[in-house]
Amino acid sequence: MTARLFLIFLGFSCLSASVWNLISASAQVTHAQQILPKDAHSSTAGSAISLADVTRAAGIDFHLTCGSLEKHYIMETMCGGVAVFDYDNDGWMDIYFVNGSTLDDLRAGKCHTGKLYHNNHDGTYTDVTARSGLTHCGWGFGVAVGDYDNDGWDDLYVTYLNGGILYHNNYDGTFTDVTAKAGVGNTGNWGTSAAFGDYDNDGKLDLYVANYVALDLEHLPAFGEGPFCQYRGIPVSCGPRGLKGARDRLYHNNGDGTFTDVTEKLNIDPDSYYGLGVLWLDYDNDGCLDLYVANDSSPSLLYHNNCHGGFDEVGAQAGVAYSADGRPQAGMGIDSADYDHDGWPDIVKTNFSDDSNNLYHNDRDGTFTDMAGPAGFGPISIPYLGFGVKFADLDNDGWPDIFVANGHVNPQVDQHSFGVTYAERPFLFRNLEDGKFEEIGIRTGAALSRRYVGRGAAVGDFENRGAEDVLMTVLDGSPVLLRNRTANTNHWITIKTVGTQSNRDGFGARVRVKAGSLVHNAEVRANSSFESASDPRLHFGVGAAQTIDHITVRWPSGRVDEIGPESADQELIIKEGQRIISRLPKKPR
Amino acid sequence: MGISPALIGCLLLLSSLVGQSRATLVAFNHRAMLDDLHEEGGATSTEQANTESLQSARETLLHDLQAGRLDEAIELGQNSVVRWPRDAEIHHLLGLAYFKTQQHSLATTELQRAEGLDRTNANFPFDLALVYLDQGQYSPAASELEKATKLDRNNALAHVLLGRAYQNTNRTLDAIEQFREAIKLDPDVRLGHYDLGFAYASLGRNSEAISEYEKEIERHPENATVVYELGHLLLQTGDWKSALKFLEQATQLDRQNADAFYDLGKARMFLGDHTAAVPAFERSAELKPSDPSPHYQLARAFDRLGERDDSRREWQRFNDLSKAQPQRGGMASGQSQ
Repeated sequence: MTARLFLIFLGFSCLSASVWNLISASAQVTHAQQILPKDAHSSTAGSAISLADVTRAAGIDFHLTCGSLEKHYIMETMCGGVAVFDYDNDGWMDIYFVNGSTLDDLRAGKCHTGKLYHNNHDGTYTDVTARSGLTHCGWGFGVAVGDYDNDGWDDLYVTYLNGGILYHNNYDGTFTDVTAKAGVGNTGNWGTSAAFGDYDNDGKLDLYVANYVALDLEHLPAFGEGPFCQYRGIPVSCGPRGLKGARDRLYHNNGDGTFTDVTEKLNIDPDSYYGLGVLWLDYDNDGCLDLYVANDSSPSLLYHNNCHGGFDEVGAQAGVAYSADGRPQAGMGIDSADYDHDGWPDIVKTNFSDDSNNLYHNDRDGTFTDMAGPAGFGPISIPYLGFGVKFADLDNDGWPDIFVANGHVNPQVDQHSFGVTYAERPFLFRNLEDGKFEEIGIRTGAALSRRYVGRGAAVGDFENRGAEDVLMTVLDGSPVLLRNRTANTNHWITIKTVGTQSNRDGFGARVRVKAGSLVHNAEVRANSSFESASDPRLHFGVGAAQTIDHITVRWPSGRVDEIGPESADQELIIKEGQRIISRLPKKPR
Repeated sequence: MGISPALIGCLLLLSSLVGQSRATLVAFNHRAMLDDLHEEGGATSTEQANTESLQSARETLLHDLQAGRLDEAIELGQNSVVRWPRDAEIHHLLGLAYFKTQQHSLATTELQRAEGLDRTNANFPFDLALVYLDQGQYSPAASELEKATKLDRNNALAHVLLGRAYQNTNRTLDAIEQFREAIKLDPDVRLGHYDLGFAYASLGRNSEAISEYEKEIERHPENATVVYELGHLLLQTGDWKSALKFLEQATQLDRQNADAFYDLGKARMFLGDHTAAVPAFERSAELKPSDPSPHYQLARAFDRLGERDDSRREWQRFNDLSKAQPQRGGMASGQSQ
């Protein structure tokens, strides 16, 4: 309920009561040095998940620029969007990295453009940025993927320090900036995460853009000056507290290449909280997409879709606005999955250091309970600052694991003995199948033993071999492509949805897979985590099951397609109303 | 020596804090002091006279301190340091007199002088550390306690205090090392296991923390704070039934512990007994009227009980109190802000 204090006992020691009380009153929850619990190395049995850093070998040479290394201003700490998507419809996941800038370069008009990498189908990538047209010059943060015009080709929306850009996919490896025509410029706003989702089930993807702080570049808050420019008593960059928040925007897709800003009409983010994470999900299984927004240093918001074109904000009542004790948190990244196979989507959220990450279990009655502590997910996260977060079944055992990108925002912490470091190792939580998780990062190989200033995180089956890989962006550094080298005989099924009456991507479709003794439920989406988009294909590990007994796809349109049985270990392309239209062979692992 | 010299200052302070123990402590301490002085020995006749006079001053000063005659102690101390400016113990005792009258600056000066005159006496840095701790100056306190533990490696209490100073300066791993050392020296050192458990818990090392709390409770089963901390941690880790047991015990041992009542309510909520959770949260709210958290839980409990009016009222209180909370730092951390 309150900060955990170092409680004391009167009369126990030689110290005067006042001494003890002072010790008690000032003691704060302290932070772990970036070391592991002592037993972390000892319980190595059981983990088969193996991840290897293949970034360099893959030919990815992107460098994320995000302000000064000293991080004098808050916008220098929040870059790192990445999109995993198939821009050329060749069936292989490509990568787009959003780039930031520096204050001087921004003012001078010097560009640090993002980079688009084409998947060469052999584990390597080619930088195709130059011809792609993805060359907007600005200070970028997040990226959303979605086929907003239902032409069968995924488009991109990129958020910047000043507005956003909608890139239309031209089907030839190039993109065109259609922002002005579409009316999604988010003008004057610093956008962070964004996400496409069809909230009114009209078959067209709408767009939500989280906005963070209303920042005036000509009057930036002075580093370290003021009560909101301190961390543990040392000067750091200011904010977001003390700075004016920027109101998020919700754009309704008109179906003609334009959008209408319905923010005010639908009473979205009326208090202009500091928006960071965005997630469309149908948490109450009523067939209408709800929306969860992680806000920094203010309550997170859960918009319940009333299925009549509007929302009711129910975050507090649902138990996902605050910490388990009703305290505001600094929410960063969010994702959703049914981690315990009860048929209802749960939510994971990362937070600032000194705080536990959240694992909100869906109580199936419109409310959630934060199970981070009991699940073994929360305590270890307390000294770490989490950003990107993704559920992914990395060992195909049928139970979603969780990857967390960690990294502090204040490099100044390295100059003090706080027990907190700027760079932090990422987490990988293995699902123990009983509602609990075990953090096994360092046991998966050297890559997750290293420290990074992690930001965005996305997952995808980059090599179409039935294994989910992980991609993490690193502030002021190179990204880390983690190839899944897990060696086991577990089986899997991948499903790509193609909407007809529903939106073409099938975002929001609920897919139920029965294989063996497990029933899996998942929603189709691309955008979640922190400023990032992942492989939109649903990947289900099915353990020992070689046959998928049954697949049910409930489309946003309300149509239901029943499929199966099918063999495991293949990718199915399921088209609304036509069921399976393609079965794709996979490369051997 | 008859008693660890590092405890002299402590015992003096305890004598004023723990009324029922005063006589014993005074006698014990006095004897220890005399033992210390007798061990010095070897003076010439002139020196002997001076030493006797010095001894007398020391004893009188000590008596005054123990009897709470602080003004007299300070006056005598001030005169004595003029007469014996090179005597470390006189400066030490005067420093303690200042400390007991909350004159921290003067206490610091005298104790620093004592330390400067005799760098072999572990008492001086130890007691100087107490002065720093009393002012919340944990870094200099840690520095002094490091000296004290180097001079007297066997003082378990000094290791505990050093651990606490480290904990308060965000050096949790160093703190753990000190707590472990203290326990190694004295397995029954007061709060050693508790402190170690608390440090573990702050690192999220819950199983180790629970083990240490259990050890502390074995030694001091009626200690309400340790019982509460164990219940709290069990609650955090999802062992709700065990948590309930300890939290019920904690609230019986200390009816004023708002956190214990709060956690008791949460344990009952987790176990599905929302009705029983309500009075626990209400008691917590009563004890901590400015804390929004109990109202958050009450609102959720009433929601689950279908008590809409009560729920609305609690949500409103929660919102009002949340808005009134002071904010510190640029980013929220889910803790009291």
